[in-house]
Amino acid sequence: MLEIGLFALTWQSIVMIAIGLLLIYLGIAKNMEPLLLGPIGFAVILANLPLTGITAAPTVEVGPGLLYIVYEELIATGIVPLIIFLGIGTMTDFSPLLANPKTFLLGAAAQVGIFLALGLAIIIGFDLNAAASIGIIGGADGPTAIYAATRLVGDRPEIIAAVTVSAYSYMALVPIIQPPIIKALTTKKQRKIRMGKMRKVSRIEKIVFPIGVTIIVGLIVPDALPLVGMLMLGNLFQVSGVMDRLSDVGGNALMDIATIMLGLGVGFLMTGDTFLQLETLKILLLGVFAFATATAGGTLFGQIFYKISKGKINPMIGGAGVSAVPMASRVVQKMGQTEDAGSHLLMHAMGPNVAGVIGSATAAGILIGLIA
Amino acid sequence: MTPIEVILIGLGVVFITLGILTLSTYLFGSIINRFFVSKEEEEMEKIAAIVAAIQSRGDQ
Repeated sequence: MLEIGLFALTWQSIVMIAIGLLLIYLGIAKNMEPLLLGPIGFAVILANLPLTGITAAPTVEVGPGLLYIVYEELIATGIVPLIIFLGIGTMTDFSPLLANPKTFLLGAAAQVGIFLALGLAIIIGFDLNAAASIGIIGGADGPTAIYAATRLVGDRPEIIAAVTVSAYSYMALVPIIQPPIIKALTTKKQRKIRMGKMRKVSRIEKIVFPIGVTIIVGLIVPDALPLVGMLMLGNLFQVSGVMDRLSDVGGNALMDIATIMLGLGVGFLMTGDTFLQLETLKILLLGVFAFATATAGGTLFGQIFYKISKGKINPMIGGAGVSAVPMASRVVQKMGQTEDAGSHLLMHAMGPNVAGVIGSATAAGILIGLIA
Repeated sequence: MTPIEVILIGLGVVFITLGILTLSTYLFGSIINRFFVSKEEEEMEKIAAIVAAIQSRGDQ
């Protein structure tokens, strides 16, 4: 018998379709993470149109729906977030970190947000696995947040959906969330500090770095190896100078395919009955807290660097220790130039920024190892 | 494992891991720059000279 979807619409599906339209609007009209919000928004509409079976699990009579397959085979298994990490590796330049390795510690300090948000989530009433998933939002790294959430709360799609939306939304809102926090924790005089030219990094250093990081992180935090290993493999493609074809595919075609699949998979999670809950709102608010405290942690550690260097290091670069590359660095550059037009902090902020990518992946691996 | 333990161990291991990466990056950077970079640059200069010679021959 023919069933008409119109008569099966519920208020939840109508609200979710409106949210899908909003995401598409933000992506296209406001240019907020359009490559991701576009597919996610469209997939949310797909997932919430009634009677389509597009999100259905397989039964004896009927096979699985399209979005179900995408989520179960590509997202829940961790394949897509890891492929995206490989793509990020091909596009990341670790030279600023190699030129100034101590900025690794600023990337570590910014991970404070992950653990503070975890603590607050526990106080609010989430269990340890959910709290750890929520905390990872503070890493400001979408693929890491999804990978960790699928490992920590794989049986609770409502939490994975909220964590994913939260992580990507706040990444897009870096230029709005970070400046007031960095400004509150630094003085005008400090924000004016100019930093010297960085040393040139040799090609051999660039090649040894991804191999060395993979081995060291793999030996200390084995559960972080899938993320860090793929990031470093992608980076090796780029810096080797002889694997251009692989670097090109990893950073373009493969990354784009993975992004489309990620959008569809996240859309699968955002059905009315799972997403429209009070817990989602709590997670979105905890995400802001995680991101804000991560920025504060990095900036405050930047203050320690400022003291130790006797005023030569601009403490604002610590705020870029979250792994939203390169938006966080651009925020620091812009804030520096607002105070002093001749200040060029971008490359100095890129050091902690790329360290933050390694830091958040490491933190995720630690939490997976301790809790999952 | 209690949440407090997770927070303390987690944050501690993040700092230890990135601290080790800091030290090893300094160490390998200094070794590479001391023993390998000059040779690499010499080779690059030789290659640049060969390329320049070929280009000048092509111009003639």
